Amino acid sequence: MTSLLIVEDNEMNRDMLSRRLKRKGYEITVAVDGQQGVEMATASMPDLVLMDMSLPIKDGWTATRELKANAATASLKIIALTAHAMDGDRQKAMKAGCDDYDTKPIDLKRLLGKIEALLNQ
Amino acid sequence: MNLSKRIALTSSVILVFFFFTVLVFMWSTQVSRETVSRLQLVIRTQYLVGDISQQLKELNTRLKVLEAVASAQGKNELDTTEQANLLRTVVTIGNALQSLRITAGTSLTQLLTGLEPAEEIIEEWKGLISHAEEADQPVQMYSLMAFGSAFDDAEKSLTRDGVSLRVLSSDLNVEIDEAEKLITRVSMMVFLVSALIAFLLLFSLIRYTQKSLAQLRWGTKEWSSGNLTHRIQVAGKGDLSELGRAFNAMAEKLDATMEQAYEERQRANKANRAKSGFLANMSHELRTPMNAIIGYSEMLLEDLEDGVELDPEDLEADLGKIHGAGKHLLGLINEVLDLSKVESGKMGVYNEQVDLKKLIEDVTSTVQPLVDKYDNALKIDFGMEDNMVRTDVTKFRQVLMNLLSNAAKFTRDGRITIESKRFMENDVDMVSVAVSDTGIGMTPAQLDKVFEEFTQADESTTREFGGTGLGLSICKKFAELMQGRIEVESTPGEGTRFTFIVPAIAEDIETEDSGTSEYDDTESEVIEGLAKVLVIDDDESSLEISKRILSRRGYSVITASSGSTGIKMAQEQHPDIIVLDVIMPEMDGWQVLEALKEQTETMEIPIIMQSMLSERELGLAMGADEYLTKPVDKADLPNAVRKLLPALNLDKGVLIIEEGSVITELIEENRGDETYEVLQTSDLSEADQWVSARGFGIILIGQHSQMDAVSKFMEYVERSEDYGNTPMLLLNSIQLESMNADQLLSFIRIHQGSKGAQEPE
Repeated sequence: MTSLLIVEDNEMNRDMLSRRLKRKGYEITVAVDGQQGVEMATASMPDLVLMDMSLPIKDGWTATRELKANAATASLKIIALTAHAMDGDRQKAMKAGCDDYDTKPIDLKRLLGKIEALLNQ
Repeated sequence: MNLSKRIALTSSVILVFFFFTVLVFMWSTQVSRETVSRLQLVIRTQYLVGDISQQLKELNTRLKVLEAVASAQGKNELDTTEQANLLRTVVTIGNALQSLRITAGTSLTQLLTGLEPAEEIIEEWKGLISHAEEADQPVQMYSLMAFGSAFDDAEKSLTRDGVSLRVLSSDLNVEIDEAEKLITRVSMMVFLVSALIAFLLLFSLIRYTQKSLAQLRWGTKEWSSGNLTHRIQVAGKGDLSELGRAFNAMAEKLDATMEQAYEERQRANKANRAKSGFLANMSHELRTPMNAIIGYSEMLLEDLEDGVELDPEDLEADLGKIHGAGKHLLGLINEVLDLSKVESGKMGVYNEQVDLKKLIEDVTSTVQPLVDKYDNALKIDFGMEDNMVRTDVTKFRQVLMNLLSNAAKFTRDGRITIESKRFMENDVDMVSVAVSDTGIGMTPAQLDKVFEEFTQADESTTREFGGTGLGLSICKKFAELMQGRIEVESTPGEGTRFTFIVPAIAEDIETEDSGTSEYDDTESEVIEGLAKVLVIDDDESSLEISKRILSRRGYSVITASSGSTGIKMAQEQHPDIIVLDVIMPEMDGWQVLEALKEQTETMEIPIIMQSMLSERELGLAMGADEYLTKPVDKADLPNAVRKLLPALNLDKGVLIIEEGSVITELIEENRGDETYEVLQTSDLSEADQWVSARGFGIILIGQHSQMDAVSKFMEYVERSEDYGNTPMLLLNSIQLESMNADQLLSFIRIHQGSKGAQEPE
């Protein structure tokens, strides 16, 4: 079973996304801030990380950079999932090391397409 | 020295030298002319001297011949013929000597050594010969010859004179030559010197001009290349220096303006960046709740499609989340609208009297559930004696609500206190409401940003405590709009205290959208006694148009630029008619209409509504007497006003009592198609008879010299059983001078309804 780590601080969004992805057959773990996200990703090595960017304690950009800088976790696939959807936000996320980028509100079909595309690489 | 002075100096110097040259020329001409005439005199004298000495020589020779002949003949006497000839010759020579003396003049005569001796000898001879002739005796030869040696001397002297005159003439010739040479030299000198000086002056002039112009050119070149700090070097007080200074001043101004433009551009850029940042934040803040709304609803839709049996509790929870996110979104949008209204200056302030204590209690009861939610205790400490304040209640309430709900949200099991105070600050009566809590508090860094848009103390704050991050920015802006402020102090972990301070009695201030000036300054133009129309409209230009149209038609117009001002003016000024705009900020036309119709003192006033929207039916149903759709035709408004005023009842005719015909002419000019009868008289007994005989619709009384009699007449009419109800209007001369026909008719119309005599106020 494909394992996904959702790093998201907004309780509603975390709940909603994890429930919907579970239904699609993914194994879901969640982290509520950037620090926890890095720790859990390092410990459990999920197949893919869905990373919010505005996170408490450690923001998504920093967390991504740390994961990509660490040789053990550099291979982790990370999709930035953010409400920052202005010009340059995608670039900013990709520059931090994200493999893909999607915006909130989430279009589940589109997100699933991106997840599958990355997993099949 | 300035340029024109330099040019003037140069020209005058050149002129002086030219004048000098002319003088030298005249002088030299004079000198040479004098020398030449002297030379001519000398030559003439020389000629005469030569001639005389020649004649003397011939006479001498002849005498010698005569003597020789005489001695040869042995006689010593001259024969008569010879004697006569001799006398003639002597006389001729004497004449020649005389003319020589005259010609030579005194100056030359002194030079002639032979002249006097010759004259003496000739005189002697002449005497001798004429004496002998008179005595009829022959002249003795020896007596003639006795003068021989003197004669020789005279002749020789004359010959010498001739020579010295020749020398003199040649001297004069040399003198003339020399004078000419000198003159030429002096002229040359003068010419050269003047030319040189003129050249030098011109050269310095040109150099000075060129130098100044070069500096100006250099300066402008520098400026045009962007170096606005460059300054032209200016010395002295000349025209060109002035020009330089003017250029420098211009550059300075330009520099300042450029600087200002640069600063403004910076400011605009900064504002633009802030705007972009705001937009990015907005987008983020809108997307977050949207994510929940769309996500949960999609999930529920999927469940429905899949036919999943939903547990009602789960369903309620999920729907609750959608609902909550939706409400959050709405709150956010409202706050953004508020903020943008404040920022574009469209947020008006509407002050009214309010009991502050009641207001606080009201807000508190609204927030109470939120306070209870986290087990907080709320305490009100109302420390004011006079509860009545004048402020914008809506904004006051919103600020207080925001501060209280913040306190409630950020405090758990704590205490929230509201303290109000009234105090003097810089001689202004102020009120303050402080909301303090024992909540999580803020660090100094968080405090710095607390009023900024979308900056909650921490990114995670929203998740834990909710809120949009706009509430405090709005509170701060509202406080400033209300001439007040918000202060904040906080200690992390101990609590926060926000203090909202505003003037206790707020004065209305003019904002872009709400003209709150109570009365427009129209009353100076108003003629007392005319029908008074109150126009209420928030748009200044349509106010102005209505006012102009109505004033021209003879109404006195007062204006109000907001609904609340309009209501107040209606109460205080009792207009005869109200023209009311429907779409106005804060209090719209419908609310104003309702308020006016509710109050006894204004409910009778006819109201004409004006609006862009054609809601005539609604307007009339709501109690308006007329409803006009904008844009209102120029004639529509005055016509509507006229219809609503009492009709001009002139069917029974008009009686005008006046000396002269001011009123009569005004009425006649304006009667148009109307056919009522106009009778005019200044004779009061005639007026009496007319009134008794037929009665009138109205009696107008103008200027009359016997006002006592007029008063009696009016009393008589008033007491009359039949005509006591006839309206009588007394118009004074000031009114008659300032009124036009429309105004007079309007005046008659508004006062004819009143019973009996009506004197304008």
